[in-house]
Amino acid sequence: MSFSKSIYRVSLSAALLFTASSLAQHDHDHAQHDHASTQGTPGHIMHERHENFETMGEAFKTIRDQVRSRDADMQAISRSAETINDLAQQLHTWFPAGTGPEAGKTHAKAEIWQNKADFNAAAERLVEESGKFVALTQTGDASKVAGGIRGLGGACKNCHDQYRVEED
Amino acid sequence: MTDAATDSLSGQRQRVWDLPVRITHWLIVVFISLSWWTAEFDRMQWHAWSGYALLTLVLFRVYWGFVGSSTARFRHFLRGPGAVLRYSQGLFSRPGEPVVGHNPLGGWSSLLLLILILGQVLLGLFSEDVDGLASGPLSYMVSYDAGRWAAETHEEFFDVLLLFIGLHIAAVAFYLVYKRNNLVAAMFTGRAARDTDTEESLYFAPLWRAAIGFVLAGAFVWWLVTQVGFTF
Repeated sequence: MSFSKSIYRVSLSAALLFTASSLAQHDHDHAQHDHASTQGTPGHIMHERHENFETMGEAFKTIRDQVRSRDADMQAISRSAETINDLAQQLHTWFPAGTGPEAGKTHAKAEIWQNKADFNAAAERLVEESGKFVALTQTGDASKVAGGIRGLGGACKNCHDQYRVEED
Repeated sequence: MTDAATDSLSGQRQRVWDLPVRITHWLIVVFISLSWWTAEFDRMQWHAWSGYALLTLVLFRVYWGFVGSSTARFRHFLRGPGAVLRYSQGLFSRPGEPVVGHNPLGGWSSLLLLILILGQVLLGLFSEDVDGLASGPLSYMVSYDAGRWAAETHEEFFDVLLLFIGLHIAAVAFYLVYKRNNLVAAMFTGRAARDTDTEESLYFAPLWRAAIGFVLAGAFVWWLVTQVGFTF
């Protein structure tokens, strides 16, 4: 085996090992969530909350990915927009007292419970923006949908900047 | 312009690094700084542009590693384990083994840094932002989970990059202080102390060839981020 070939193999194995271990860590994180306890406990509420935000994130991704594709699936966009709007309306109920950073691993900042009224107003902004967005998707016009993406993402960001922990 | 005549007149110094190598090096410094700053202060559209600039520079540097001037070429500076070992053993000798261009350790270190920057940019391209607004232009190719993994790894991987940049700077400082060899000035002026022992004549590639490389790299990156998908 030539020198350059062995260097290539070593770097490739290192890269694969790095990827594999990161993925394993990722799965491990998920497994921990899945074991999270029974109905109504803080662990369960936090787990459900995490799943709900992930569902919203995935739905928003579906919208953006569809909009950038040449033949956008307007039905998928519409369904995803409704998913976001439905979840947005429940969002304010996902943060009962005792489910903050004191209860375990979460991206939710303690400030949520200190400024509950402001937090709820931010959640309400998402309800409004996602509601407007659902109306846009019903026009069936992909360019109108594209134009609304900034407003919807802005409602996510508005709250995240203040109440979501950036670092993992 | 320099040529053999002015080189022999100056006597002590010789032309080592060509203009494209120097410009690429310092632009990488500028854009890595800008990438850090824009991420830190949430200027994500600029962050994306800075990443595209870095990708263009790294791709150009790879091209230049094949068709550039002697000291820019991988074939010239990527040496076998024997040469690396021999050079390492003399690392603490002053002034040390005479070298034109990258020394056997520095050559591999440059390649490593280029690979790390490329890896970091690739992670950024596939990153999924939690707000959806700052997602990388290729994030539509992967799942939400994979995109989030890319984003989190992109953030953590910056520390790895910083570590190796720190090592690079430490090595340059070591050469300056311990070996009395100013590599920083050489990377600005392109000129280094003439090495009387080596008779190696260096080839300097024409600038139009560098221009072609820059245009090709830039066009490829433009295509990658606009044609394949579009950014918000």
